[in-house]
Amino acid sequence: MKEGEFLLHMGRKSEYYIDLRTLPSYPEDFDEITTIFSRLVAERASDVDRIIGAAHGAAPLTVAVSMKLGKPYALVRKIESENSFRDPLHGEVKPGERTVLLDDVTSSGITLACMAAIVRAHGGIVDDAVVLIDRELGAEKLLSAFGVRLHSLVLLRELL
Amino acid sequence: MYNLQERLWAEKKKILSKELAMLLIRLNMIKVGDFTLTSGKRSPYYIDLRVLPSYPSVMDKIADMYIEVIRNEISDKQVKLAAVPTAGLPLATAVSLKAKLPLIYVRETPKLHGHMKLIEGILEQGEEAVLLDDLVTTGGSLLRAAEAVRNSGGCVKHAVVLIDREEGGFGNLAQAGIALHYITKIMDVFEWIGEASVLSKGELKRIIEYLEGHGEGELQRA
Repeated sequence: MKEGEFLLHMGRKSEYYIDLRTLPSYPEDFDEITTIFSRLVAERASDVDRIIGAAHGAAPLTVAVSMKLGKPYALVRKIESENSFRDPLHGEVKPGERTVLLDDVTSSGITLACMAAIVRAHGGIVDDAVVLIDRELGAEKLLSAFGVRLHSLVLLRELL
Repeated sequence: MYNLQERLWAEKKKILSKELAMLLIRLNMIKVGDFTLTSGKRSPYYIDLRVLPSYPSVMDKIADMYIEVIRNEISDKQVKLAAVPTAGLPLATAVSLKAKLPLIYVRETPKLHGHMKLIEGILEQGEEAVLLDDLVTTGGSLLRAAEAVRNSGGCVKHAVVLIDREEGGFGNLAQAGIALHYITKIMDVFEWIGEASVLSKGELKRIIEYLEGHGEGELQRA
């Protein structure tokens, strides 16, 4: 975790910039954390057919959980603009599939809410989202409005 | 005197190459027809790896193939992997997890928030990283990734891919001081496909002619 003032999404400023992107550079730690995280995912979202990760930041986390649980995955890319015609879904989601959303960190929950909408548009079922860290900036509330329960390994305040 | 280990690896690689070709056919990842590639080029075939995420056991097997190539052709010691965006990242993650190799990844576009940087992960000054991607055609994305790693203070000497599409990538990378390693070459894939009689003779002939037209055959590799 790096301290300092960083411009986050939505222009919100934060003193903490959580750098989970360096995690795969430490394979032993990456393995351990993703094992613990996979257990949480399996516990909170049992019986899912597919894991959906936020591309590309959470791609390593998603692939790790997919391999550890032996479940298929797909990635959803952030929508850059309303005029983008690229399909944000990388991989497939079959109609009726039960899915769980994954991301490394959530703040407002907007990324996960968009992911839920995209997966549902492809016919997938979304009831749960699991993140490593919840920054508690409104994600739980926003997601519950979308009918998605948010689970996290840790809350940001537990780390401070 | 020949090197026994090299001979064994050459034999093993033939098996891996065939196994990969069979996987591609079984999961319908090789499409034959008329395609326009992302580069704008026309191609009579297309390798579609988009279904790969749906088969974790195949991902696992493919990760093992990459590991074999890295161990036998690059280094049997600790090497750092650098994933090429965007298809390289899931594959490199699988390889990193299975072989316990540290991973960094090249950013697709420098992001506007947070630290401005070309790569994600830990890279020391002068440290070597092995590029990992799914396919190579002319080598454009591997060369851009190599530049990002080099501009971040790292060093690149090797790149590893699943399939070399044999359209100049090998030579273009060599010019940039990068040795290309692959599990299979596309010509071999179509040879296996020919043996398995999956395609009609006409379809196969059209593809072989297209591949030969690109002029990067055995001569340049010898």
